[in-house]
Amino acid sequence: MNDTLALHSGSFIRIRQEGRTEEVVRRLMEAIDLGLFAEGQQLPSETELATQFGVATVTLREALAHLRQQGAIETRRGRNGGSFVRYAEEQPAAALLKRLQELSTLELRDLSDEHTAISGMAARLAAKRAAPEHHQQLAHYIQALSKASSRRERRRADARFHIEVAVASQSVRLTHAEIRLQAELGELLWLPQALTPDIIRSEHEAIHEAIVSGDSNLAGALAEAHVSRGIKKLINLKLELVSKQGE
Amino acid sequence: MDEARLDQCVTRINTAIASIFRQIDTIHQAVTHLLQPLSHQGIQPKSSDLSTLKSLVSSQLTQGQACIQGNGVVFAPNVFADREMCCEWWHKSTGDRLAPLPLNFNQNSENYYNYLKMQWFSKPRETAESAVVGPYVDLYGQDMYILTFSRPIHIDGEFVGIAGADIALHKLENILIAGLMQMTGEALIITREGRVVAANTANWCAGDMAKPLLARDNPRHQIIELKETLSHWSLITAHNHSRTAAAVHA
Repeated sequence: MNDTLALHSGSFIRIRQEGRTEEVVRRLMEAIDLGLFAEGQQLPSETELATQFGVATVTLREALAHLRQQGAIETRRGRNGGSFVRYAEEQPAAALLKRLQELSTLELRDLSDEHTAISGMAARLAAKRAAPEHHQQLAHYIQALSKASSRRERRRADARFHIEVAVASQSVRLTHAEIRLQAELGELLWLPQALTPDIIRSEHEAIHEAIVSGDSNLAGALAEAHVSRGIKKLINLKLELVSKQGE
Repeated sequence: MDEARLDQCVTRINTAIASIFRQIDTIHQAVTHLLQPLSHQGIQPKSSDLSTLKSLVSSQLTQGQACIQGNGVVFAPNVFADREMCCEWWHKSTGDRLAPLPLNFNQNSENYYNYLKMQWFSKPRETAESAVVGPYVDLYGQDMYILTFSRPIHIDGEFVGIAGADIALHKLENILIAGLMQMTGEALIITREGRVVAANTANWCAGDMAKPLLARDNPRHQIIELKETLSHWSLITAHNHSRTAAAVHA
């Protein structure tokens, strides 16, 4: 029930319900899921992490307890003790397909709209602001993608490429948004049914080239087309699932 | 063969829409039952006369179709002796908890919620027919992409308000798409304004403006009005355009 003229305190200003602990849990889970913390890697100390997140140590401990319960980390006692990232099983394709089935094409289209905005702008700014070391990072994750041998590795190299573009844009907010979107999209793009690794790699190469040559409009347009093409594939796949369900 | 498929597809979509209107009709009838006798006696109703309505509206919401995100009745001004503006509208809040829609009826306030101008209210009042409004981004109740279905309520020939429902498009979509997927070529549901409600192809998405497709002189397209939406929506099929062909409109 809307009226564009008179805004009132409706849900659009609704504050995120999640508290600080949930926020820390979410951010750490995203980082682990995307491989920003490698499997087996020791997490920074509690005090260090608490400072990084800007939360009290108590809050951070609560978050770690939550992650431990979910099996994402394990805590070892003793002199070489601490919290370590656990090896996570690759999600079975069936579970991913089920997730796709639960998403509507409308939600996918909306995700595409937001993702296009974020990735497009990040690429635009990266073309203006990136330094040679950023160019190298991008090239590194393009290579990592060609070398990757499992769905999880491919997905991480892909996500990491996009996150590195955002890092190169020098924007903390765009980087956070890109991490969140990559985590939300998950491994869906790398489902065997949606798989077009060669196209994805060549599109990454083209974005990289445009960023290196400082062509901000081209970089933005390529990144936008890349993101929307990927999600379009998911919409097609989702439609096929609906049609099979109906038979 | 293709004609049969098309018929089946249209029937399926019409059935889905009809069942939403059926639910609205239950509320419509309840209001009529409450207000009609008073009108015959020449008594102006009080808002307390609606006391039994609340439980019906909320039970419809919990037990009715999952795609219904909110429903109820919104009355015209001064129908009730004790209240100028009146609405009995409930919606699913976080965790599917039910909550009344809190609206600001203070006319002096900058945020005054003037529903009289809103299409889901004004259209049924002006045309005496049901309306299907949207899809639109709902700023007020839902934080979602919403369709509003509404039906006018008349007591002794006089318009007193609307009974309606807010539909979450992402929950209705599967039902609509299941129908559209029966077609081999591209098939879309489009509003009168030309906005896509659902499509069986990634070449078009809900929310896109597809006005050119409404042009009646395009020989490649077939346009069928969906009667259950009182021709607010049309089904458009393109015979020689494959669903999975690369996007040409991007």
